[in-house]
Amino acid sequence: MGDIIGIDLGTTNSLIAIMEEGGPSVIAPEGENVFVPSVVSFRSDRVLVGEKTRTGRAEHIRDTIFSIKRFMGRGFIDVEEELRHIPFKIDPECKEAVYVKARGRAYSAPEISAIILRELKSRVEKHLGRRVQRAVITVPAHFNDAQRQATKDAGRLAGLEVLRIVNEPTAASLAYGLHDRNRGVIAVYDLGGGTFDISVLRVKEGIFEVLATGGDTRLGGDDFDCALADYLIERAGVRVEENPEAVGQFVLAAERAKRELTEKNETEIVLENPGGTSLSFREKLTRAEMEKIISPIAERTLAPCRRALVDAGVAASEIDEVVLVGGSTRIPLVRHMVADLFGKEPHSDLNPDEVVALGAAVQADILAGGRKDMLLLDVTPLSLGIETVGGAMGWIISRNTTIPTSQREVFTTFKDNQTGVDIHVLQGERELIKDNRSLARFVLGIDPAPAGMARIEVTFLIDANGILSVTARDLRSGKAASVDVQPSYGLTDEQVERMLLDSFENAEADIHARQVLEARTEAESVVAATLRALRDYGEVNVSGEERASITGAVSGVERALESEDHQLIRDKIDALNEVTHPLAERMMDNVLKEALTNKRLSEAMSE
Amino acid sequence: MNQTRVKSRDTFSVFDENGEIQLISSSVDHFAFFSLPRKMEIDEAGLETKYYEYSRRLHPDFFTNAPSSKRILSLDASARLNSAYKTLKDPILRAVYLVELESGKLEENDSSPPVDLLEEIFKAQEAAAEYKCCENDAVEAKNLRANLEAAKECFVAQRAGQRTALEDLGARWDKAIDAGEDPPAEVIDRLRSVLSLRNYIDNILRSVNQALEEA
Repeated sequence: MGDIIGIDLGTTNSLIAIMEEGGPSVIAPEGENVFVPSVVSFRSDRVLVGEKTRTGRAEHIRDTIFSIKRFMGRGFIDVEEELRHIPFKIDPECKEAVYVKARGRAYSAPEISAIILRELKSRVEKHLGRRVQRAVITVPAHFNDAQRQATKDAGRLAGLEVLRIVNEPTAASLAYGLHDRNRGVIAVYDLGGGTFDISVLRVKEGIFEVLATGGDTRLGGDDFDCALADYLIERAGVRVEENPEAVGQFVLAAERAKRELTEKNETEIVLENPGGTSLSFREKLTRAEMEKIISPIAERTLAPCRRALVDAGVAASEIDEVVLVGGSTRIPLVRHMVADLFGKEPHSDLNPDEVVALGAAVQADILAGGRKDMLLLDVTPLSLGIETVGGAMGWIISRNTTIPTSQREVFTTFKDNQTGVDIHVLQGERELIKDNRSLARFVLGIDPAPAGMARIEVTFLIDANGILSVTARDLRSGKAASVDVQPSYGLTDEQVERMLLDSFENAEADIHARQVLEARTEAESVVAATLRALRDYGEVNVSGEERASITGAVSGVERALESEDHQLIRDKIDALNEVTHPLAERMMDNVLKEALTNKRLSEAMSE
Repeated sequence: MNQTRVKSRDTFSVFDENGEIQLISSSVDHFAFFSLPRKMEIDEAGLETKYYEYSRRLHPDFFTNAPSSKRILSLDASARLNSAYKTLKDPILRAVYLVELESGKLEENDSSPPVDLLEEIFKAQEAAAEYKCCENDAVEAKNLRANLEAAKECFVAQRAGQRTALEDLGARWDKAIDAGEDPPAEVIDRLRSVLSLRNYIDNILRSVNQALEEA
């Protein structure tokens, strides 16, 4: 089935690791850095990615997109207050997802991420000398459903099948696990460029069981840079509100100063005519001064740590090891804070910038069947609920529940002959829905009946990627109920499809790979729907003969999946749909049947 | 694929005779899933061992290259495994699950808090609301915080008392099961009342804690 690569798609830098003879290793082309800066620059004649964006960046600062990860799975309103420090443009017209504008075109966050992923993919393909199609991508543990989905979409747009979304701190723990450094209860403190995570795990006999996780997806090194930039702008005594180029240059200078002050006690910031102003700025900054500016931000990591400990049911003193991950943990102030909190020296034997990618390669190896002795049991970082009467949150799955997990809820109607029930799904910890994150709304299709008679069982399933799917059935008849999900933030499937069409460079191999990928995805959902129908409905309603022909057709699809022939896969899907058709007919109520005459079982049942 | 409807706790197995994962019907309860008797007291260490063993056999990580039907069976079975384990490993969640399995979902009116406790609850709710939303001066805020801390202590003590009651009732429940009988109706009723009161107190504690955390 080919290689599975591990990707750390970071806010500041991205990198790839693969499993080699001696263990996981990060890869880079001859003479190049392993880190690809997560920066995309749109120039007049081409698109530059990574290191190459550095040349002429100052002149093209408005068409150079960085820190796109902060915008994944978010809406315009979420990022409005961050715009002050961003030199590139965000399209205010698009509310449901963030679109950045460069050279007159709007790009969704997954599209920008896909450009970075494609660069990484081509690097690894050059290194291996063969095509790569499957990947594990890491995300902050505290990423919500929409952010995870956006990451998966980015992979798809880059021509990668994302086999698993892995949480960054847990990936790091896997990398450490290989070295046998971690036993007992460990805390992973992960402060990157844009996000913060804390995870508490118990490691026992090769099982990495996450007990609790916490974090803040908008807290990282970028915030230190912005605070420092604000301080420098104030010192310079200039007004730059109307000059994004100048702000951008101050932020870049702040970032350089921060790095230098990690090693040294003093540095000098020099800025000549930033953003075309007449300013000539020169200022000395000491480490102590910097720490005073950034410490209120660094302290915001402490509350999530304490909460994660409470959720895990362990005291700080019971933590056997503390691991540091992410570039921002190089800052001495951060290290001291962590040591104080846990009462022990944290360690970072593995390079904190590489350890997440290495862990992704370990997870990739587990998925490929190479390692059978290690298993990661991760959790969902946020509680899941639905809107109930009065805007209160009705809890369905609590945070820190081990995934995959599922929960069933039964819904009914309040009016006679009501044919739909609206369900609003959210994530978050607050009692009122207005304080939580809306994920999606969906409508349950229901057979007309007197009020309160309908009994629709909805299954909320969170998979091993932390991504939610919803299925429903009518308990009175056992029939499938339709679920039409509208995501609150992010892209619909159709939008991703369209972007795919736009993005593929029309190379024949690309088109073929994409067709196979799409056929595979469809095959998966048809087979899933069929099996679940048999489970929920088949015990009493399907004869042995019919069951045999259905399972035969399922095997047919699966054999086709072993090939790279998308037409064959499609033919087998059609064959399966044909044998399940009578079952689908019986499962549909007359009303539904009329509405869905041309729809097949798979479509009626899928999420 | 298993075609018989599973009722008896002894007949269900996650794996079929060839060691393949089965379709798990929703009629299989968490106890049946782990082949455990429907008792309040269970072998928790044994449960953990079995959980790890099943995780190693069911987790989707080990089915990446398997046919899609097997991947789906693995996903559904793992989800069931994790839900079942989460419920059964915690004595309170386990008790609620077991009582609901025998006698239907717990409702709010299963509990009738004693009058003095109700008073405490109302006072705490008021204090929490005021502490969260209003502009309080330092002295006021300090008083409110002290009230909330006191209320918290009272509820935590209440919960400790319930714990003893639950243990006694649980022992009587298990005795009946061991004797091959149904749990006595009186035990079920009292369990329902204690558990739903506990649920009620947990909710209050949650909002008290949230108020203390936020301010």
